[in-house]
Formats: sequence, structure tokens, C-alpha cells
Amino acid sequence: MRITENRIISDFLLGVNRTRERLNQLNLQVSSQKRIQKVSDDPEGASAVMKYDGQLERIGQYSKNVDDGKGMLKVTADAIHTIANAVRSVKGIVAGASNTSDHTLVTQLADQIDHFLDMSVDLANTQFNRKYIFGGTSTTSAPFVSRINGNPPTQTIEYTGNTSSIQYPVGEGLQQPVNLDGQNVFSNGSATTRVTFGGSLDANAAVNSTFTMNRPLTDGLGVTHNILLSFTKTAPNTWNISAAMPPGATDAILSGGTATATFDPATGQLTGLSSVTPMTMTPAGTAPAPPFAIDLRSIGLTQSAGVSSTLSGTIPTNGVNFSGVLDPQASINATVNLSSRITDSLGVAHDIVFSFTKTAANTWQVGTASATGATITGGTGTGTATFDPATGALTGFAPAVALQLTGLTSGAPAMTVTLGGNGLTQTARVNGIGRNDSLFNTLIDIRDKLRSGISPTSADLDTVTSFEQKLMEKEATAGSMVQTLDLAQTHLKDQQSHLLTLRGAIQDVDLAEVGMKLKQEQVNLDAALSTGARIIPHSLLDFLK
Amino acid sequence: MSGLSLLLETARRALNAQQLGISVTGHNIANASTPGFSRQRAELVPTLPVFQGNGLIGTGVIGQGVSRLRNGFIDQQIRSSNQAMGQATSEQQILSQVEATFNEPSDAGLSSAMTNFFNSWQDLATHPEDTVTRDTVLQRAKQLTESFHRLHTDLTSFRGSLRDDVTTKLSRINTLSKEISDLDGQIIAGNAVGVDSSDVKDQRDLRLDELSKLANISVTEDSQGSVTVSLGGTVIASKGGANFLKSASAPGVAVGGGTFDQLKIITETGGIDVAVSGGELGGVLTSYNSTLSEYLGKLDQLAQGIIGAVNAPHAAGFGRGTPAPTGINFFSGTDASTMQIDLTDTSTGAAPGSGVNINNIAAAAGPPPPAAGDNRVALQIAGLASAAQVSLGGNTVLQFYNELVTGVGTSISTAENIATSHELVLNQLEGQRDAVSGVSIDEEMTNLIKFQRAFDAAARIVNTTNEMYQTILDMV
Repeated sequence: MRITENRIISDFLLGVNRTRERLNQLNLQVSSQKRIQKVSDDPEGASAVMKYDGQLERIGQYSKNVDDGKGMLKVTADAIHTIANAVRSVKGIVAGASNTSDHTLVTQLADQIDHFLDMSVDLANTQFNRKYIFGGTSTTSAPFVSRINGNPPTQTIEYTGNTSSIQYPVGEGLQQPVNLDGQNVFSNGSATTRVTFGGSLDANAAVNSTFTMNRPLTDGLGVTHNILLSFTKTAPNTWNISAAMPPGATDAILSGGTATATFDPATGQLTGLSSVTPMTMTPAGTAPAPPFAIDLRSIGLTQSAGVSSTLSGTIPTNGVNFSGVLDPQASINATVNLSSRITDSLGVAHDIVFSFTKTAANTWQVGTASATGATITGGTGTGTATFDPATGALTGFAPAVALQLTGLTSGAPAMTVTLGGNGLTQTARVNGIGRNDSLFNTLIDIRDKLRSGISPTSADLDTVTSFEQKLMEKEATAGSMVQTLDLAQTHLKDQQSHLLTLRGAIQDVDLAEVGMKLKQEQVNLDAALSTGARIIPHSLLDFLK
Repeated sequence: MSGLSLLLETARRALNAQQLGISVTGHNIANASTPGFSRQRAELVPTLPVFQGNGLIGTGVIGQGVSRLRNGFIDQQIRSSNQAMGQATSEQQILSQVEATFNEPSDAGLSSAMTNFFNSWQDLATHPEDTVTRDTVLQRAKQLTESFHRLHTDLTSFRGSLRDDVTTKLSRINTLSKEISDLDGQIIAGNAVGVDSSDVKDQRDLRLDELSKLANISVTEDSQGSVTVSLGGTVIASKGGANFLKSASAPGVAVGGGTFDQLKIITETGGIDVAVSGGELGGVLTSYNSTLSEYLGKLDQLAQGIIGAVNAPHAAGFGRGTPAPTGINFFSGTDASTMQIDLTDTSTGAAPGSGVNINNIAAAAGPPPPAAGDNRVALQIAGLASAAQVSLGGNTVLQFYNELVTGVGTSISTAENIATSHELVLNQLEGQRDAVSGVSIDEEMTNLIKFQRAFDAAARIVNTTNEMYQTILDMV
């Protein structure tokens, strides 16, 4: 084959350029420490690197989630552990209190229980990373709230959280719960809600008179249901209690919930609660909370003397005072009629019915509805009563229009009656509240019993022991959940190192290998250049004279 | 003719012939590095012998002309390799720009934006009650939509710039067609008057080579040495003249998630469709009509897939507030260019995206009012990162994108391999052509010496004949 000078030069250039390209590629690999700069360098490898990078990013995120969840569960376990210790101390106090009648000592023991109660509630409201850990998915408000209701005022610790589990992603398609809800940890058995009634019933009410009122209850998912409680006087000092859903309500079905309460006519104290049928609420709707039992208790329910009003002042100007109770939880515009008896100048009594309409919280508008044996002409008798929301005591009574009575059937002359509020209190006739059968409420019961001088029973001790047992179980549950997360973490770390190895095998530069290749290409280039330099300038011309 | 005068005549012819040889050698050396030049050879043939005395006696040599040394078969092979290499090279250049636009594997590409977006939903799932995690989701979503917009804009404007490429290449093709037909005319005219047209043919062949890089031409040469060049069945250059080409728009074609306009090549006169399937022009056309349309279509499909997959659980979930906002879309838009963050309650008639509010980000599944720590929708959306999507052919979003980007890389390396292998073939063929047509200085120097020595020898014959005449004259 003929080889021309041009051929030698173009072949030489082609070879040198190729060698330089390879050198540049190797140099890029060394300087960037990456074998693949762009996808076309190795499409399959680049695809794998992109896949591994995505997986590694997600594993990093899962790992972060697991750490976060572990932190939350560790705080949960610690809180449960401390509360269990407190319960153990309470157990000792209860055991000691059963055997003493020293009043001072018993009060001290009650104070100690109160201290442990406060501490436990604080711990049950522990936050981790700005989340309340015992509230289920209700994480932004303290799950255990102390409320004082009823007459006499009774403290209850209400659970405002829910029983939902919080799931964290801990792997591809894998989720793990990272919380224990307060209902589950601090309540015995299923969600039993106790309804207690504080307040007083009117001893002078007519037989068959009925009082009704709505009471809110919270189910396991945190949904609030109203129940309608009716109190019907069946005989003097005897009241039938029944519960139902308000008319038209479809959010739950209520069964049972009847009882008969009897009172001591002299003191007004409850003497017994009989014929109790268990009350069960079954929430309705899509994905409702499970049915739960409601326990009717009657601590604090009293029957007080009814409204009586006596004439005071001089004819023709008479004053009337009321005594009686108004419901602080009544809705605005609710109206209650109170009957009052006024004696005229001839000594004849007239029954006058006054209406009380709630116009604002703790404010009632008084008006006259009807009078027996007399005609209301001119002034109809109005005024406004305001009450202290804490104590229920009357804080002010502003009479507006005086009541003018004429045409008295007794033949007595017309009289003017000024309204006054003496003796009027705002206290629910019946004050029922939803109350959870929890550790905290059990402690409250025992404390209050001790404070009123009642020794705890062995049943109380058993209850406390069962809570202690339960707390230890829950601590173990939290511990095993941490272990599950530890396993997940180990698995993630294994996966991570495996993926890093796979990715490294594709993307990392083997410096030794690249170094060798670089050296080889350099030798090739040197050889090509030196050979080229030798042969290209030479031709026959060099040797012709 | 007497012996001595025949001898002188023979010597004169020899001197002329060797001179021709030397001038051809000179021409070859002068053009040793002229592109497209084929070495030439003086065609020396013995003249007819004469009958004298007892036999035929040779009468010397005559230079019949100059011919170029060229192998037409190699030329054809080179042109066909040129087409394939031209197409592969232009596709490789275009795809490399596409690859640079995707910018993968890196921390700044769309794949990283998608991973970050879905990871931010995991952050939200672990802290649904926080404002910070909601803000992170919003920021990551902004990065994601911006990545889609940037890719879409870059690819669309790059695709548009290919129209200019087509115009430039067509104008070069038209120029070359014109030159080829002009040169062909010169060859035929030269043939008619018997002028040697080797150098004109070299110039024409050089242009044919260049034209073959630009498009899938086929060349036929007739007995007169005149060529006919056709492209996709249409004659674009012949001795009769050039047939100019231009580009025209064709109806759009739906690919993936979008519809894309098409380009075709037609003749300037008559508007006949010309099928261009190779060369650099073929590469640019394929890229414009199918490759880039496909990438843009897939990008739109991916954006649609993400919008649909995120919106479905999001609209069913609940945000923060009283009452908790629900029925709200996370994204608005239908493709990569229109994808936007919505997060607006559009039930009141507000335009999508006009009231972006992080409290409208739905992390909770309800029922209303949802608990602050309810993270079930956030979990569901975070899980989309590794969930197969029917709208993406059963791939996860990352797999779909991964395949798209890997497809670009694979096409580049295929084009690179084609270009490299044709470069080798072409080098080989050019070697062969050079072996036939290339000028070797050594060879020409040798020829020079050969012709010079022959010239010297012929002169010696003149001298000797002269001396013979002298001898005869002295005898008189």
C-alpha cells in the first residue's frame, strides 16, 4: 500500500488526539473523584447511581424519623416509670391510712397524695419536641385538664386527647407507632366515663315536676356528645333519674342510665342510689369510637329547701326575695320559672310565678309570669340578677320595674312589690360532668375521702395496685416499641452501608487503577510524540543534493 | 524517413515526454496538501513503429495527456460513511446539550428536587403541628415546580434553536448543489473541446464529500464523467442545474403529555416533500421531530403524574384552621410548564394559586375537626416517592425520570459509538483513497529524478545523433 506523508501526519494526529481524550477523561475522574460525570459516560451505571442516591436520601430521612420516634418513646417510658414510682408511694400511703384514725395524720396523708397527683398530672402532660406525648394525635394541647365542678366542688382530671396512634415512616412502606395515648396508659380497662352529679334538687318541688339538662361527654376519639338528663320527683325526697340522647340527635345511641335517688329530708344529703341500670353509649357515624360505659355516681347530689319568699316591708310597698338555684350551664335564652309566695295585708298568701331568662353568662333577667288570686296591672316586676361564676353567689340584683298587684281576691288593697334577690344562688340543680375512670380520678377520690375523714378500703388499695401493674406493663410496651425502632434503625444502617458499597463500586474512582492507566496513556503519548517527531520531517528531499 | 532524422525525431519526442512528466510531477508536488486533490500521471505511450529495411522500428514516445488517479468505488463508500457519521455526530452534539440541561447525576437536578419534596412530607408527617415543617414542604414544592419549569423552558428553547440549525444546513446544501452543477457544466464543456478536467473533477468531488456529510445523498456518474445527485429520491444537482430545498412546518404530533410541531424539507419549486433520513440535517430533523418532542412529552407526563398523585390524597385531607380547610389541591396546572403550587380554597371562586397558605397544606385525614397530630395524609403523600403510578406506566416518579435521563445517556453513547466506528471506517477508507490518489513526496522526487535522467539520456541521443551527422559531413 502506498503511504503518503499526508497519511502519516493524519494518522499521527488521530492517534495523539485519541490518547489526549483518554488522558482528559482520566484526569477528570481523578480531579472530581467521580467515575461518572454525565449519564452518557455509563448510562447503566448512572441510572444505578441515581437510584441509589434516591434510596440513600430516603434512608437518611427514615433514620431521622426513627431517631425522633425513639426520643419520643424514651420520654414516654421515663414519664411512665416516674408515675409508676409515685403510684407505688401512694400505695404505701393508702395502706397506712386504712389503719389510722388520727385525723391530723389522715389530712397529711391526703396532702401527700395530692402532691403525687399533681406530679403525675404534670408528667402525663409531658412534651417532646413541642408535642404532648400522651394526647394521641391531639398533640398541641395538654391532654389532662383539671376541672372543678359540682356542689360541693369536686375536682376531676379530664382527658382531652384521643386514642389515635401516631405512625412514623421508618422504611419503604413501613410505619411504626411512636406514641401511647393517655387513655390507654392511665385508664383502667376500656373508656369508662363516669358521670357525677353535683348540685341540689328543690325539696319543695311538686311531685312529678321534672328538670332536664344537656351534659357533654367525650368519646374515645375525642368527639363530644350531649346527653339529656331528666330528674323527676316521684315522691317527697325521691327522684327518678333517666338519661337519653337529646331529641333528633343521631351522633350516638344511649341505652340504660336510670336510677332512683333518695334524700334525707332534714339534711338534704343523699341517702341512696338504687335501681341503677348500666348506661352505655354507642357512637354512630363513619369510623366511630368504640362503645363505652358511663357510670352513674351521685357524689355531691343534695336536695335543698326550695324557694320560699316572705313578705317584708310595709303595705302598700312590699318586697319579695327569692331563694332557689339557677343552672350556670344553661344555654343563653333558657328560661326557668320559680314560684314565690307573697302574703297580703289580710294575711292571705298568693303564689306568683317569676320567670328567669338567662341573657348572658351568669346574668339572668327576672320577670313576672303569672299571679294567683290577683291581677298584675301597671308594673310587671322586672330586674336583673348577676352571679359570681366561681361560687355561684349573687353579686348584684338590679330591680327595674316594681310589681303592681290589684284586684286581690282576698279583698285586700292593691300592693306594690319590689323585687330583691336575696337568697338566690346560681347553682345547677343537677350538675353532671363526664368523668374518666382514670388513675388521676381514683387518686382524687381517695384524697377527697381522706379529707372527709373516710378511711380507704381494701378495694381502693386494689385499684391503686392495678394501676401500678398497668403502668409497669405500659412502660414495658414503650420499651419494646423502642426496641422495634432500634431494629428498624439497624436495618436502615445495614441497607445504607450496602447501598453505599454498591454505589461506591460504580461511582468511586479507583485511584490506583486510574493512576496506572494515566501512566500508561502518558507513556503512549510520549512514544507517539517522539516517534512522530522522528519520522515526519524526513523525506527523500533530505538526502538529495 | 532516413535513419538519422528518425533518431533525432525520436529524441525530440522523448525530451517533450520527459518534460511533460516533470511538469506533472511539479503539479503534484505543488498540490501535495491541497484538499481533494488527486495525484495526476502523465500518460506516456510509445508512438507507432515504422517499417524500415528489415523490420519495424520504434519511433519513440508521446505524452497523450494527463489523467487523475481516483477510485470511484472508495469515493462512494466514503460518502455513505460520511452520512452515517454526520448524523451520529449531530445527534450526539444535540443530545449532549440535552444531557447538560438535565444535569444528572447531581444534587441540583430534578431527581434531587423530587426526593427532597417527598422527604419534606416525611418531616411534616413527624411534626404535623409545626409551622416550620409546613414551610419546608412549601419551599421544596417551589424548588420542584421551578425545576420542572427550568427543564421545560431550556428544552423548548433548545428545540427551537434547532430550526436555525436546519436553515443553516439547508443553505449550505443549496450552495453546494449549485457549485456541483456549475462544476459539472465545466467538465462537460471541457470534454467537448478535449481539455483535461481532472482538477475540476477534484473540486466537484470535494463538494460531493461535504454534501454527503450533510444529507443522505446518492451520486451516479455517467460515462461523460458528469454526476447526478439525488436526496431521498429527488434530484438536487445535475448538469442541468440545482434544485433548491427549504424547510416547512408539518402538523403537530402528540407525544407523552404534549403535542409538538414538526418540520419537513420540501423543494423550493413545486414544494415536493424530500425525505431526509441521514447526514447532519437528518440528525437535526430527527432530534427536532422525535427525540426532543419525546423528552418534553415525558417531562409533561411526569409533571402530570406528580400533580395527580399528590392532589388526590391532598384534596381528601385536612389542613389547619377552624373549620379545617379541605378539598384543596396542592398543585395546579396540567404539565411541566404550567405546574404551580395551588394551596388555595378555590370553592369561593378564587383563582388557583392566588391564596397560597401553608395552613391549607393537608397533613391530617380527619374526620373533622382533625387532631393536630394527625399525620395520615402526610404519610400517604410521603409514600408516593416509592409507589408505582399507573399514569407513569407502573413506574415510581423517580424510576420514570431515571429512565428518561438514562435514555438520553444511552442515546448519546450509542451515537458516540456509531460516530467512533464510522470515524475509524472513514479513516481506513481515506487511507485507501490516499493510497490511490494521495501525493507522496518521496515518490514524486523519485519520478523527478527518473524523468530528469530520461531527459538527460534523450539529450545525449540528440548529441550522439549530432556527432553522427558531423561524422557523415566530415566524410564529404
